[in-house]
Amino acid sequence: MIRTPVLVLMALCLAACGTTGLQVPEGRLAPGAGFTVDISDDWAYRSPSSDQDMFGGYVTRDGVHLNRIHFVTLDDGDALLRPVANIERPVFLAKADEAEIAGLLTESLNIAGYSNMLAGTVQSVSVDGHVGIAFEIHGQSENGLDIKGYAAAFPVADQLHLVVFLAPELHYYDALYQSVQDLIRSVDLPD
Amino acid sequence: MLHILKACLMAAGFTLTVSGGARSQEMPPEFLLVSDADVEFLTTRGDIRHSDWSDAAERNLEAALSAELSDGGVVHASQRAGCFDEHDSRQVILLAQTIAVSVDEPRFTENLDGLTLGSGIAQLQACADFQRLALISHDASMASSGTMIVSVAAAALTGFNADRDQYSRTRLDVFDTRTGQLMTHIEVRGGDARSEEGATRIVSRLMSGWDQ
Repeated sequence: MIRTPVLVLMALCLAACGTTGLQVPEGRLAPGAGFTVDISDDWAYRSPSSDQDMFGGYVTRDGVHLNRIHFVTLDDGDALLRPVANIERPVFLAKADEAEIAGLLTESLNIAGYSNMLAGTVQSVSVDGHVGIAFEIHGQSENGLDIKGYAAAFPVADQLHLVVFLAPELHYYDALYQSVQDLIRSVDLPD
Repeated sequence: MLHILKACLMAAGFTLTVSGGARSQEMPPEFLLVSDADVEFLTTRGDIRHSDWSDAAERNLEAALSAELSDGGVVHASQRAGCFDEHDSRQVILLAQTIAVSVDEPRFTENLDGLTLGSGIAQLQACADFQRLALISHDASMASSGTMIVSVAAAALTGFNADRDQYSRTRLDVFDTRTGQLMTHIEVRGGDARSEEGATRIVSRLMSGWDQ
């Protein structure tokens, strides 16, 4: 009997979400994060309220299951994941080291529905005068499809700025890798 | 789940069934046929995947589509398929399934240009020679009588129709083996694939929307 009010609330939420549709960005975009990026004209943007699992906005070309670039800025103590009942979410701590930042992302993705997400070797990357880290990610989607990813993380002051690319390892990752690298190089971080 | 995936869990051997007696002996079969069905049982305690219903729907849809396509020759990736069990082949099938789901999701463009298996399609052709991959996928939710009674009572009291939980959706996706590209995507709503007659009607509706 609790079902009906829950369903009514869900319908209201869906109606609200329906107002935040897919947009085709033009040029520079503040993608639901504390930084801006240049989006080429063949990506479509969805605002942060479109993602039920993670904070931040994302762009996709062929649908979120085939390719997505996710953008988010976390403050000290923030979680990447939205609250879920009875699940303890990993949080970003300003004092986190490289391995802990990589672990925050992979653990969050595993909770969000991916499985066996692991980070590769962490490398140093420099963008907009800020030094950050970058690493590959490997794992599987819910249906077992091998997923490959590339993440760039920039700790600035007590914030962490994240760009995360996820795509099936088969075809899509390699096909979009260069476009993702161009996008990461275009990141304009706050001073 | 996919026949392919289920086959991973089975110790059975590998067989391929090729149908289509009217074809030239030299021509490869036109279609590799893969079916996938997921039927959930809605109860007042939650949603449960019903294995028997899912298996029956998968079997019935595969048989119905096979009958429609048999003139060109059909290779079935059946439950006992061995080559298709291998990791690389399974990945191609899973990608095809993911593409099928993605067609109707928000994307940059409405056309099918970016939806492709890429060079991965060659992996399947290492298992069997064929010209097109036909993936039929079905998902449905069927309510229990208890859930129906609760829904009707709730609708009577509140005016809110919770019966929307029940649905049935079947997709046919056809990929070109030369390019890996998705050529055709057809979706029909409604129907009950758990029976042979229901599956035949669903496939008939799919075929009527397919300009081959």
